[in-house]
Amino acid sequence: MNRRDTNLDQELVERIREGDKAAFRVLFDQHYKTLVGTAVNILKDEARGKDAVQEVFLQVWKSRKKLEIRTSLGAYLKRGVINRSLNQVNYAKNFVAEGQLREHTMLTHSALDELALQDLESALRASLDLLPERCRLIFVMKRLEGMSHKEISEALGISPKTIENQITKAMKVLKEALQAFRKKE
Amino acid sequence: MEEDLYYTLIYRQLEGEITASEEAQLGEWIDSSPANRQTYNDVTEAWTLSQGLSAQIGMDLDEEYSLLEKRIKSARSPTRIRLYWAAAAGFVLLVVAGMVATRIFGGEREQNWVELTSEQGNRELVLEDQTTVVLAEGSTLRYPEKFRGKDRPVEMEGVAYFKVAQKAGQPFRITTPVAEITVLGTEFNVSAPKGGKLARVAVTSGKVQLRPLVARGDQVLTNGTGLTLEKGEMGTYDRETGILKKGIRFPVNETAWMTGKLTFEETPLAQVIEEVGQYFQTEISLEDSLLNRCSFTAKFENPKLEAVLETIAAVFGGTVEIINGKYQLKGGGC
Repeated sequence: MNRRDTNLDQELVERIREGDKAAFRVLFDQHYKTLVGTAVNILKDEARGKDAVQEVFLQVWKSRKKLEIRTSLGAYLKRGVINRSLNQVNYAKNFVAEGQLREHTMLTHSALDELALQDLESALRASLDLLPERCRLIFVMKRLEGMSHKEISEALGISPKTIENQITKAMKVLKEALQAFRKKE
Repeated sequence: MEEDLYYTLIYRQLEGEITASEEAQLGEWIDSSPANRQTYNDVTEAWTLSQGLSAQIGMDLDEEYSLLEKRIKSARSPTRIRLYWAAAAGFVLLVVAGMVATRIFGGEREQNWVELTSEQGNRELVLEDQTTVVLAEGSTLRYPEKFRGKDRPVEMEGVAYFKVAQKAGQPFRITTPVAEITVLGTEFNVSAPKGGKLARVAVTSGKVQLRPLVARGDQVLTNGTGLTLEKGEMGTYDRETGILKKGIRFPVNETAWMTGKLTFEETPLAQVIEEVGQYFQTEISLEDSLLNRCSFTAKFENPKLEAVLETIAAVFGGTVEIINGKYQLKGGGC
């Protein structure tokens, strides 16, 4: 982010702090759509994703007087949305149950055949949904949300080694989906 | 699996975090067979493509913003309550934001009152004194956030089941449109239909007092000492006739709306039909007067209306028909 953006953010923060609704609307317009994308990537559900983002904006407005940004507004909001979405997923619970249950699930041939019927992008996206939830979340955070290993490990409370293993596993599934798609063509 | 190691190495390479020796190891593996090279190419291609897999949600920003504004508005009320009720049957719960009314009640100092209507399904809540109330669908309860006075007043319309917490010297008082019920610590069911003229109390345990309410000018007062009801008893006050009476037999299905259990034991069919109709909030009629003389014994748990009616019809050899949206039992006999 360049200095100009930083200054703009700072100006927005100050105006929002003073209760300027127009500034709040600017913030909303700038980030809402991207943030909904992030929430939906995590939650796999549009309505719940929007709800999470709306709650984050609500919190920003409610505690606007204490609003203080160290990084950028975008990063600040994104962190809020990710935390909120993860709380909703109740990932800790899912992880134990699903991690044990589906740790060794691999793509079946029929699942791959089904993927191959769609276009490549949809096929790859659908293959992500076939991953065990923990694996899917880690991959989404890394690749779709561009989070670092450190950020992911803090958000999920897991080791960097686990993150690498899970991403590797997701890559394998994505590769298989790609190959299955090619075979059909 | 050995292959897994190479996926890890590919990932490290893509992330720019591969060491020189790892890079050499990976290169050797790629060169060792065309299949490996293919795998390497496919993995890196899938990786590149995967970045574009982020969810794309179409939306109207103006519309989304107005939703947010609504959320902000409803969050502003300082005494907004959010109650979640875990529905045993798993149906959807609508959260109703409390409407707050500040009022003076019986000379007590001002308190914040909360109004709650169960819009969909039953709703269970615990009041400040640990009294549990199960509110039937469509019923309304008004209660103070804190019970500060000489008694614990609440107001209700509709149907509710109360499990009142014991509190010596601070009786629990329920005001319905037509009567007042005072208790010390007990379980009972109150039925006071909205806009109706009836109040009915069925006592599961403990002791309850039911007193009619009368209007004097612009004041509402209790009239007389009322009726004292004990476990297993039911009291009814009908404002229309002014009759306050005690029932002898505890109505077994009085709490069916909450328990989901309908029980009939040698129950006259006319009464069965009435109670089933009440449970499902629908009108059912008995076409054949012969059926009126029959009695019916059965137990239903979380029943469906059609299933109940078909059971009854099967027992008496009759049929179920829907005429103008109303259920009718026809034919048969006993």
